[in-house]
Amino acid sequence: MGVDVGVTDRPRVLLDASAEGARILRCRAVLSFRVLFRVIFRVMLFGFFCVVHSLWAAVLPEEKVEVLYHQYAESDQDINGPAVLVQKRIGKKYSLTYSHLVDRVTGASVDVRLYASPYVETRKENTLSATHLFPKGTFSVGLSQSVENDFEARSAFWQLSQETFGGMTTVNLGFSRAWDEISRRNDDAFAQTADRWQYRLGVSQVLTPSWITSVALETITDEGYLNNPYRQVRYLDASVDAGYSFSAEVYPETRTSYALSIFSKYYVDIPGAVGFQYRYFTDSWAISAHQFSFQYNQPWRDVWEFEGRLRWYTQNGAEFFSDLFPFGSVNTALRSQNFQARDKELADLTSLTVGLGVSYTLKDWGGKWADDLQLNVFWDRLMVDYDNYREVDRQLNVAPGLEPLYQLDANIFRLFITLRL
Amino acid sequence: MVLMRCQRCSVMWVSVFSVLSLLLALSGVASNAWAQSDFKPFPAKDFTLKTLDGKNFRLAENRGTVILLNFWASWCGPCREELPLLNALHHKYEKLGFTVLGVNIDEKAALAQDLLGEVDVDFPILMDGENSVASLYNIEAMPTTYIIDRSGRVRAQHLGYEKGYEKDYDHDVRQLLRE
Amino acid sequence: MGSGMMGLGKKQVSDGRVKRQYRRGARAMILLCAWIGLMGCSNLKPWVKPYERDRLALPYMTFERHDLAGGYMHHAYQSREAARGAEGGSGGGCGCN
Repeated sequence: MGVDVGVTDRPRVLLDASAEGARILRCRAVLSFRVLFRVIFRVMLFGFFCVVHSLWAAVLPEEKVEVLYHQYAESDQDINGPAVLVQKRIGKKYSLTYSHLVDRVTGASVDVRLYASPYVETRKENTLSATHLFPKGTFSVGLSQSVENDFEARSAFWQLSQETFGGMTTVNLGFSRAWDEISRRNDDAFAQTADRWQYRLGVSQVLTPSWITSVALETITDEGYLNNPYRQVRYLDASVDAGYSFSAEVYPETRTSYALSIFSKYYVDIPGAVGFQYRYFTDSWAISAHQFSFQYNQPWRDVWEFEGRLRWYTQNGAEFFSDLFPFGSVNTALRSQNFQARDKELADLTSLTVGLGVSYTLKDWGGKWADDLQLNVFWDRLMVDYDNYREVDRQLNVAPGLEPLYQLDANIFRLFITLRL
Repeated sequence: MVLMRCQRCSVMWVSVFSVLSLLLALSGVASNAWAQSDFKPFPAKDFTLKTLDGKNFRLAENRGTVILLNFWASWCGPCREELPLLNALHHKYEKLGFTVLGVNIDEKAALAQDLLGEVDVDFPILMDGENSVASLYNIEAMPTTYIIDRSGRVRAQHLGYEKGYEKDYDHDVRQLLRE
Repeated sequence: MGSGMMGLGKKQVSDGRVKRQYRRGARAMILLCAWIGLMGCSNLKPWVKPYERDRLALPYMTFERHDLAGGYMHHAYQSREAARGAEGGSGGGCGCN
């Protein structure tokens, strides 16, 4: 980004009346693409339901029970908890899936520590879905709910998967609708909502007996209250000792994002499998991101399996993000910009993840009522470098805007058992 | 690629394009479907394969017996489900001049042997590791079952396996045994 | 950035960027539809036979092998990164039935 100018990390034009015109133009273009996507989506959906033939069918999800213990550990924050998944066939044409996940959050992330105190919180998520098997494909519907003390999200989704071209091509369509309710601790008057629409189109293609590729396109639109009710932005304030003050974040009321990914799996005759993914993301907040992932799976002696993962991700942050705004006020009428955010999730960042996984299978462990039991231990190390988000520590006497750029390191553990029925 | 300037036009063009491509896809799928539904009996192509025990087995030598020819693989879920049912069918009509023939198309015979160690199978298993017979019969689904009459003509074909197919096999075999 | 400094304003910058996003998205959509359509062409026969799918049926050749653990990782990344959507692939497998 060039020379560190100290105050903000890139030159910014203060938004004025002409920016409103730009915003309207952007919204219109984004809206028309949204319409375009929806039209195509509905046409394809109608087309699929027109296909009637009763020859051969696809396969239902496998029957299994999975129990996971997950842990995400940053320097001062720990999120861990159990999760369980049950998948069972009903008759020969139906399958039910239920999953439950718990996140226990202790501590606080770097930005929360700055103006609030560490907290303990529990989030619980439940998902139930049913799959119907029909000629050449499957259709799933489901409901999901995520609850914590100040946030509740409910969603409904459906997904259609259709095999064609001799089973070499699989097309899938998916739609999800979500409703969020955001409240605030110690503030009963605060009640906000957000709505979300998610459309997904994917095609997977078998290219050779050893190579399969999948392309997916997904668009998500949010409307409503999209920020965190606790997070604050920082602005230069010469009137206080620290040199900066805080005020509430203000986000746009809409966000439309597009993600395109290409995923490839290639069998190597060791035996093993190489996986590669590239994903591109862009949205109406001017965020753009690229992701490259590699994965290698190596079976050994019929019962062991080793997995290696490498993921590189880079993002250009939201245009209304800044670690330190040039001026501002608690009084929102005197803000320097219409929208302001200091959520590090929206910053310019680059992340690298390395991971390893080991699996061991106990064959025919379940005897009559179950099949194999697989034990898995997975570890990932996530390292994030922020280009325009600073680690602010009130204890240190550093001029605002000159604090060191934040670096995040987290260890992610996944210990899980899969029992195939 | 036409540069889209008019937003309304582009919505129309892309919709038209997607409808056309969808119709194309569906016509391909549908014609495939219709072709399969009018099955005509044909003479079963002769072949020789080795059984699990290493003996040679030639299809033409079994004229006079009603044969259920089943193509299966160890990695195919529906195939595994079907095996015990085929075994039961084999025992039921064996004495009346009927046999099930399982043609295994696994590249590595050991995979088939592992599976057969777990599932009771008393009918002959023929090893087609090189897929010569699978391509001879132009197999288009896994599993595929052909029912061949005493004169060596394929009289019924089943692509894939779904619950209830074993009843169709039973019905077809009984009919052919009466001929 | 540069145009902003020269006083051309954000209007032209955002306009161009959105139009590019729009074209990219439309192009991706058309390519996907063309791909699906091409697969329906009866002249083009499937070149990988159902009996040649043993490698594709291997458990480690699937895109999302572990539903629960994989889904959890997507959730973890979404809480630290702005990108969302199109995370996993689908399809493949034995192609049976």
